[in-house]
Amino acid sequence: MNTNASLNSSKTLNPVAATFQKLFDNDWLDFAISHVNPLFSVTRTKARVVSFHQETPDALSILLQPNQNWAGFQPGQFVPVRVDIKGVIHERCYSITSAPGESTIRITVKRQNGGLVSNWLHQHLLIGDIIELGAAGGEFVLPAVLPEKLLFIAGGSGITPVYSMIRAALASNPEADIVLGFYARNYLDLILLDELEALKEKHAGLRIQLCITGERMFPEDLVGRFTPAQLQGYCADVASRETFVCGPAGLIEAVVAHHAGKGLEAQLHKEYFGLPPVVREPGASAEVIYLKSGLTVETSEPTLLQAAEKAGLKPKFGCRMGVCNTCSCVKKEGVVRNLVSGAIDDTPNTLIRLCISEPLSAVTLDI
Amino acid sequence: MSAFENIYKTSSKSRTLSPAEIDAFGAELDALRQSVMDNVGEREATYIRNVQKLVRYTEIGGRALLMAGLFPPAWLAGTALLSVSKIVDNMELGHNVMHGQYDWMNDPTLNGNTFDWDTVCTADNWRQTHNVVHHTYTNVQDVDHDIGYGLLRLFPEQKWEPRFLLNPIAASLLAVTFQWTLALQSLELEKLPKGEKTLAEVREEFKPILAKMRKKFFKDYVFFPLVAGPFFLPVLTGNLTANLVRNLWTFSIIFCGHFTEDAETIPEAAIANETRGQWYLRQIRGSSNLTGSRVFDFMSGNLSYQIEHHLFPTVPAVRYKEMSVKVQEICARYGQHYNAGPFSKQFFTVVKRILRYSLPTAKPAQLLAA
Repeated sequence: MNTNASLNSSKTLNPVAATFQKLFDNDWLDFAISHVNPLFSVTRTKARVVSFHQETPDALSILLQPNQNWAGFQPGQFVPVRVDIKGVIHERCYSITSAPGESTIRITVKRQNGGLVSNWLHQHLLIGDIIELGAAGGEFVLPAVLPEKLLFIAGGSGITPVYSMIRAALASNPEADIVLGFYARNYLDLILLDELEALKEKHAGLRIQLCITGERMFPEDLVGRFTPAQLQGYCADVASRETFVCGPAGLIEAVVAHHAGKGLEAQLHKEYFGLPPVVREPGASAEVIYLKSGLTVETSEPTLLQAAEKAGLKPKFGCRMGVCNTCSCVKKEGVVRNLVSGAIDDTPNTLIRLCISEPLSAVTLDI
Repeated sequence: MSAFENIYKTSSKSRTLSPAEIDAFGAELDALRQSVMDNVGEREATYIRNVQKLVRYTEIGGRALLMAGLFPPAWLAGTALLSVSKIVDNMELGHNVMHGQYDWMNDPTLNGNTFDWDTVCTADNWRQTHNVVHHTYTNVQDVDHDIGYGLLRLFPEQKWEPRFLLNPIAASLLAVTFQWTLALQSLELEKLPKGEKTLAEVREEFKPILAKMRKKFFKDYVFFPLVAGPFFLPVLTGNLTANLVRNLWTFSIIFCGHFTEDAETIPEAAIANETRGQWYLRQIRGSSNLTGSRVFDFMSGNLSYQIEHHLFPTVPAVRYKEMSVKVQEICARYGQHYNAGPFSKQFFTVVKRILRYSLPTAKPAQLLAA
């Protein structure tokens, strides 16, 4: 993941360090230098927890100090966060809510009902802890040339990347004309609202429309879920705005339908938050995305190994019965069933053995 | 009666099982595996990370002490620590991690497919010759290359050739140079004279092996001795000794795992359409355990539980001891011989095998009949 960072750092290594890197593998070197400073690593991006800020009852901002391998991000992107929970490393992606160029980065984590990692971060993470980060990713970013007029529609924690983008847009053009439709169940769910209002104080071009699906407390706020008529009410010139929507699937689908109806699809950018994986019925087909091969193939094969072979790939395999581990590879996303143990695995970035894994949803594999 | 049942009926200390019994036997072992994997977690993760630390600290300590190696106690202590580091890296850490026993941790430093160890045998070749060939085809004649490594005759079913007269010498050489010969195993050099493999193929396959050999040779015999400056020689001899100690130890443990007196081999034809229960049965018939202390278990990478390792190669090895109690109980109920004994006794039977089959012996008649 941090290949760029590692290549850059090895270029600048002196001959002594280069010899060391040949003699000892990176894990060994990481182990040695972590005794000097637990943040040090040859290739991995580690970060120290600097502070916490409770944004809402179930949203926590975490300020992180990354090491020299952190390659930066664009506003709107997320960062994969890896934490060790009971001996197992779990990875989840969280939106970065700080501005680029700062020495620290801030992520804002909404506690998910039953969510392993978000709950762990809320309950167990301590100041001074070291966690590992991946490289920032995601296509949900501002265009290279900032449009004159922007519309953001955010639902719940979908505000986190949107907040970053609004702040970046105003930083590059303080006069930018921005409308934000901010949807939440109730007032307690309005993450980062105080920071948004501080931006509004400074920038006359920013308008914020709160839309509460629960009980309304202030007359200027709107009630209920997204409707085209409601949007027309707070943003009459939607046709002239580049639109960015982020939130739960229901909100995004409503906005997509609205824009499609007006022929505005080309100016709509979207990012799904909290989309549950579609579990396939027995015998039905599932989509498998092969990242390294650049292939996407529907399959109804019983195992992912057979699916890959049917798709014309030649993944390494040995025993075809879950013993030798030759066919194990990283499952980036999706739900699979282990045919030997029956265990269901729905976490991203786990190692699975293809020969005994049955796809239960769309699955993305790193082969 | 299938070839599978027939072969075992005639040559084994174990009772012949009916197909239904074999299925039930397999189901019990499946259930045992599941019951252990259901509570694999934090304890095993902490354990293997501590093993990883032990390997690294003993390596640092051993190499540091050897820098003062002109002082004999420092040389001895340094060599001993480095030997321990290399053995644990090889067995409890490397061998077990490369089986994918800790893949569930999602820790990139303990990933079975990318882990590399401190021996000249390349990790990729090992994953093929050991994890795939040896573990899938355990003790299957002409397929499991670990039967004699193409060098030795250890079972009567192997055809005798005059070169096997040198069995004792070849075995001693193999023991002393184990990591180097193991590195060459994937080349299957014995196929060269028979014309089953060309020199060009061997040369191509040798490239990654040579690279790893160079790297490890440079580290132990050039880099660290040079860093020691005036203490060049004690560091060199210390490293040489530590590598020798590991070679002898790993050779002994591995040979005791499959080539003891009661170990059995079976012909390739017998594994056609093998069921999971039959596969389990074959693992038990072909493997033997070593009884010893917990320290012995640890230093053998828990291969003292070779039977459990062959039944459950992807289960963290630190759990084999507790599993062995249940496996023995299941074996007893099904009348299956559980081959276990102390190291000295098992090793003696291995030596006997090496000597005995250096001489021509007839194929057992009953086996030919099968």
